Amino acid sequence: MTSVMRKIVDRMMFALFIFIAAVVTAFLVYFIFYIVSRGYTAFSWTFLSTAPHGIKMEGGVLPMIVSSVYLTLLTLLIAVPLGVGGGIYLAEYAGKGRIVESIRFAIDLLSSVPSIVFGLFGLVLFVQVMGLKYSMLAGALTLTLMVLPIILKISEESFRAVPDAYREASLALGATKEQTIFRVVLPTAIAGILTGAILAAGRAFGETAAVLYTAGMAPLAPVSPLEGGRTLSVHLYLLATTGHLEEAYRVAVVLLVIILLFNLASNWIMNRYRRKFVSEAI
Amino acid sequence: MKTTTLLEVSKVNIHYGTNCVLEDIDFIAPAHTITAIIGPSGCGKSTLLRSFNRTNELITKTRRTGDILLEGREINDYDPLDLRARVGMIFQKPAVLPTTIYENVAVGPRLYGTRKKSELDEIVEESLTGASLWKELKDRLHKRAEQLSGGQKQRLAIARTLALKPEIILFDEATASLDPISTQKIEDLMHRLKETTTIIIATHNMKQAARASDNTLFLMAEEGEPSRVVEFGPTELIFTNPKVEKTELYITGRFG
Amino acid sequence: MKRSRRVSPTQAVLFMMTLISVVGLALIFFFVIREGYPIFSKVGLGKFLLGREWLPTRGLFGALPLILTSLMLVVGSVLVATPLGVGLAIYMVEYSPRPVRRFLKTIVELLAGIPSVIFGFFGITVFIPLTRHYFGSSGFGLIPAIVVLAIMILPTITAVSGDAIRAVPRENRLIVQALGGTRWQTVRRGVLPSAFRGIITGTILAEGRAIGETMAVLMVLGNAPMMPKALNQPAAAMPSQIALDMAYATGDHRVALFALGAVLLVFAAVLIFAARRVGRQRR
Ligand SMILES: Nc1ncnc2c1ncn2[C@@H]1O[C@H](COP(=O)(O)OP(=O)(O)OP(=O)(O)O)[C@@H](O)[C@H]1O
Ligand SMILES: [Mg+2]
Repeated sequence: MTSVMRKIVDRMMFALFIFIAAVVTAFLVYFIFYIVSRGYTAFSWTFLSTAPHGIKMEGGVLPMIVSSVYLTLLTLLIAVPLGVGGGIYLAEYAGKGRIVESIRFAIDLLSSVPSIVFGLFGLVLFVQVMGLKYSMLAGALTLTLMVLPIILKISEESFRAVPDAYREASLALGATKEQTIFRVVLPTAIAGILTGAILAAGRAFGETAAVLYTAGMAPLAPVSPLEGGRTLSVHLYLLATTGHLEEAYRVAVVLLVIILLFNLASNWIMNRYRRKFVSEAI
Repeated sequence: MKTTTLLEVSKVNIHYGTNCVLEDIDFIAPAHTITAIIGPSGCGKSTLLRSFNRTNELITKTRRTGDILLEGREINDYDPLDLRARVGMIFQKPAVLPTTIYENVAVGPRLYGTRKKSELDEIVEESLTGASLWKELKDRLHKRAEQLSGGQKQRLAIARTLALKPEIILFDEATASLDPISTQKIEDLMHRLKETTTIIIATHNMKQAARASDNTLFLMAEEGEPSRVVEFGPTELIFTNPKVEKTELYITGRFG
Repeated sequence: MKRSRRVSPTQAVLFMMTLISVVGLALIFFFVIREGYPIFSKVGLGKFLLGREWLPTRGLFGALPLILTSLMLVVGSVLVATPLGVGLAIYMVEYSPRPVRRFLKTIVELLAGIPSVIFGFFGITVFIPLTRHYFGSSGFGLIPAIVVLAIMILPTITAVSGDAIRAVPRENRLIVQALGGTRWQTVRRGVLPSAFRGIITGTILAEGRAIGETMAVLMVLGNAPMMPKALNQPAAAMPSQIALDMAYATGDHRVALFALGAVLLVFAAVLIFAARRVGRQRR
């Protein structure tokens, strides 16, 4: 009898697991469908290419797209070299000493800092002490610290994934360690680095709390890095909390589509190169 | 009371992928006997044993043809879960669950719904005694099993299997990591178990096969071919008066 | 001999780049604590942490309501998300055929990538009306916040516990299977005990995400900085209150917000500490 029982329990657990997987999947599908079905009018040239106007923020989101892209690119410009450099160090030079251990711990801690705390910090140091005001630069410097751990970890992983045989072959041909790293290891690990950069870009692009008080909320397209701007995510926040839901749906669609594109891109690269870094980064 | 359980193997071929490792295997294991399977490393002893309780198919893609009959009925016609409860197996590599010694033994009965502590206590004591572990471990039952030595882990695995009181027990090199004293204890245990079970062992130890078993199955392959039965018969005959020359060479350690 | 020990300029530069993280972290702690410290000396650390009233305009800086709400959010969302996240991980590793697994992996990654402000917006338009409908009140409050947070931390739990489950050696499964265990019994007795630490690590990391989450919580919580009384009433959490008040806070109020930031930092650090400890103690 119990032998029947346990088989029934087994069936039930199996059904439960399928149910969970189905619920999560259905939720995501519904989530995307819900937003897109209400904001699909965002796919219009006028919406994407004009500025908002009036009290109800009708019109387009061009300045916000510019701000978001500007901020993301500026962040990557600073964070990718630093993160890849650090990744090289950790993978190729660092031993197992206490110093390296503490550095790794610091990186873990940094990745756990709440985004609003990044915002507070950026506000004091970059906006006020350094006098950058609300600006793309202040925002990008703040976001740099935020995405640095992602890029560091993923690039370290992808350097480690490069087989030692490559290094040995290069060294045997008389190349120095530096030449080996920059001409052999780096190009081989490029897929991983790219994946890390895209993930970081996704984080930066969607971030709100850390940007609110560093890049500002001015709904104008920035030109110089010392000008502030309102990103798409900040714009969505302001619209949603002031009851401009119709506009908010459209902004959410733009944001969502761009984030999905980032995701597809990193997935595509990863599948192409058969690596599995993502579980580390989530 | 004696059971009539009996394992009958006829014309069995086993493939891993497209690679045939065992071909045309025939033998029977009468109830209440010990059958020893001997043969050089890689000849398929473990593979054959695992196919008797269908654990082989859990490990890799594998295909079997021919008949394996338990009480006259093809084992594929049994529910594999029930089959595995009736045909217990001790694996070559000693492995324990990352929990206490007690739970490692109690896990089997728990699977089948035994909850009462007194009942479990009794089964655990009985099974550990059976595996000659009780005296050593009775004060450490709730310590973690990972701390045990290799030999103790192996005996723990035996106790775990005994806890389900299977009708057939398959020992895959079960004494390979034990000292002579524990080996002796296990062999004594096998003798006692014959009362209630049928035992099949795979072993590299010729002395053990000669000492402990009633029948011996000698498997061996020609270069590049699947293994076949070289000789099967009463252990006494195989070890004193083998019909095939290869058998004599192998058991006297002169090749293989 | 000495030459081999000399550090090349490249190595030095790369080391400096690595150090940026350390320096950045130190600067964050330094500035947030420096800006927030005065409130501790003015109000007193005890009164700040245990004070029950947060009325900055009247000079009352008791952060307990905010801290409690944050903790309730963490506990609530982890309670909701852990069974789902771990269940999904078990299904992906132990049950699903390869194409399904890859599909679910994509789903989880997508979920992890969606910005919190979109979750917050979705919360406003979907979960708030639902809460209003089923639990009365305005709809803003702990219930929608816990639901939104649970969805947001699920990918962390699934990813980390999935890694732990995958790392369980096949022998452990085989032990249970050879005794005739069903698939679920194999998972329950052969897999979960070994993966337990990894699963705990996953939930701790998820707690870290939940306690720091700002925008999604801000948008659905209702932002009433009072002691949380019921799950369907508006409340305010630490990060959301900071984000909200920073827009206009000056003087002591501003200082108090930084002090809240410092408290948040400490919580996050403690959680990372715990995750590392649990994650490392492997036999
Ligand atoms: N999972 C598997 N996949 C493919 N081939 C396998 C697998 N397991 C075993 N084999 C092959 O099947 C043959 C028999 O292996 P098996 O382990 O059964 O031998 P054995 O007689 O038990 O050896 P030993 O005495 O060393 O334990 C070997 O050639 C082995 O390489
Ligand atoms: Mg073997």
